[in-house]
Amino acid sequence: MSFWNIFLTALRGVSSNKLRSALTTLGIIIGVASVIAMLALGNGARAAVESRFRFLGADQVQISPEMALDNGELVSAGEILSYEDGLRMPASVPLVNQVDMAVGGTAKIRYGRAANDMSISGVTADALETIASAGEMQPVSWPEGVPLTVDAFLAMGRFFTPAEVLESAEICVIGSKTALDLFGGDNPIGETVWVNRERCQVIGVLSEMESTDPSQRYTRNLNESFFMPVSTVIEMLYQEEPSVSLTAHVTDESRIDEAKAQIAAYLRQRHAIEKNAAGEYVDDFNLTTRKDILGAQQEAAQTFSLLLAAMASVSLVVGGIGIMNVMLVSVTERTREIGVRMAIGASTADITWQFLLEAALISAGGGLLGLVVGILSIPLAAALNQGMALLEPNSIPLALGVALLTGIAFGLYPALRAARLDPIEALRYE
Amino acid sequence: MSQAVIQTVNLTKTYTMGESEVHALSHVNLAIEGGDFVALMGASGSGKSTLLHLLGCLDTPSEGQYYLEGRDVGMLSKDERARVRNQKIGFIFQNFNLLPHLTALENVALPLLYQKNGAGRGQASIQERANEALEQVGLVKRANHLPTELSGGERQRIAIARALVTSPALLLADEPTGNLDSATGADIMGLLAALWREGRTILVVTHDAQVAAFTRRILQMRDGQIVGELCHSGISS
Repeated sequence: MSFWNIFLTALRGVSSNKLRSALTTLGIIIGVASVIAMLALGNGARAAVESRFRFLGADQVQISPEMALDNGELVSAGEILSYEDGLRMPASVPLVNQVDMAVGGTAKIRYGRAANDMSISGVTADALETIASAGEMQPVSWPEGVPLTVDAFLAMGRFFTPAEVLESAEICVIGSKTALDLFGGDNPIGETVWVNRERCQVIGVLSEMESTDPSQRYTRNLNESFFMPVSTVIEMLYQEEPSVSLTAHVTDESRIDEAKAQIAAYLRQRHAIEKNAAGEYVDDFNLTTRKDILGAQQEAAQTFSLLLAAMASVSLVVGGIGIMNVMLVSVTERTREIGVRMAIGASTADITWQFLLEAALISAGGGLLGLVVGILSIPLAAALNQGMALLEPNSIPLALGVALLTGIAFGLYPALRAARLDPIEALRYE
Repeated sequence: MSQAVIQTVNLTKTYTMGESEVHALSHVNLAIEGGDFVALMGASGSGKSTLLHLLGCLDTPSEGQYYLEGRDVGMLSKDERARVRNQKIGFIFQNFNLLPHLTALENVALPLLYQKNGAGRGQASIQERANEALEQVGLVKRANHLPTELSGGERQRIAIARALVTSPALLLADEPTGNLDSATGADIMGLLAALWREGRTILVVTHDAQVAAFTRRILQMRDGQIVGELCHSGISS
């Protein structure tokens, strides 16, 4: 019999007992839907991890001081990461071409009668570019698909120059809400504000910003920011030199591990760290790349995904057993039909394919319906998992393929059993 | 009489039941010429069903040879036998054995769909041949009915059309009137006789002498052997 005719025969077999076929597909529907939903949960978790660490570019190495507990207080374990460490790094480390430095502090900011205790961010000249490239924040109503530029981040004025950072210029760039709080509607550019007891000239105002991802819980509120050059903040707000956080930009992303080694060597030399008795370095700093964070976190998310998918697959297997059960009943019920088909010339292959295709049709139908149910259930899964569920595109062919394979695997035995029937016995079957 | 359609040589079928062997058929030598109309009679257990299964290539003999149109088909594989059944043999059963979800026309067309050399033969040609077969049994008007919508006699006519549709060398009818009242049964036998007159070779297995009376040659079976033979020159009716 031609494949097309066998297919039609199988289709008729499935549709001649609609209720039973529908109930049988239910197992596959549930199986496929849960595979889709579970993988979406896993994928959502991974995407959440990814976006949480998006601020750390793939070409960046974050350098932080090793901390230790001293009388219940967190202090640097060894030497601090100094401004000088950061400043000299691009010249001393071949693979590093730029180092962003940041240090935080609080100060009383006054302008006219307005006075606020504010968080101050001491940064380097490229800070705005780094923020822009992370892509987490964008100006309000920024058109979709248009690449962000540093200029778009500035509503008025300009950001610091490298020279200004070097000479600890007493200047600041402020966020839109900070500007509104201090100046009302007036133009802040060129105005002088008081930072504690020192003067500071406003040279730029940021645009009003919003988070690019509404579901994003991690946001740094740029609108309430008060930026000054890192060197200025250290001079104005600290009696003792603080540790700064350093972010090194690597010239070649593919050589980031090499760059890490160079940075480590550079810092060991500056901090005079020698090998200990065991021949190891005990560093007073930590180097972190996106790969380090994502690697560990994504591995966890991957394991989570696999676990969920494995659980969901159990229901697929149960669905498969359901198909096998129904096909075995069907073969028994239709023994006479099989005998007749054999008597008029059906070959072993004809009979095998007929029943195999019936099983495959049931599982494929269940797979398609399960796909729809699964995709529709993703918002529900997201609601139960803090908004973290995202359709994993690969799960569609995966779930459909597995459903079809399940049908074929569990349909094979009943089909072979049908084909092995003795035509005489089958014709006699009542 | 033309060349022998069926020729068996010492055809034997032995079943092993526990310790003992049962000779369902022993050393049957039978020849049926093309265009003959033969009845195979015997009590139950006489071996007539076993012989029918062997002649219909549904089973293989334990010993001996079976030549169908000169070809030794006794020891063919399962699929080769299926092909022989498809091309050379038309079965007519006591309980009709139509597939309940297919219409009369679809039931009749079914053997054509299983023909391997049917590649290239279009759906239209299959329909045409099935229709011709329905015409021969006089049921074209019932082509699109399901078996459940037909009377017993009509169902058997559809089954006969299905047996005819491949133009087989041999029609094998197993108690074709067993499930019919005597008037309808006579009607069906009349149809078979008409087909015989058109040149078909037909073997009818029956225990009913009235059915056998329609045929030209009656073979009597007992204990797995053919024990007697009777030839009419004409048809009684």
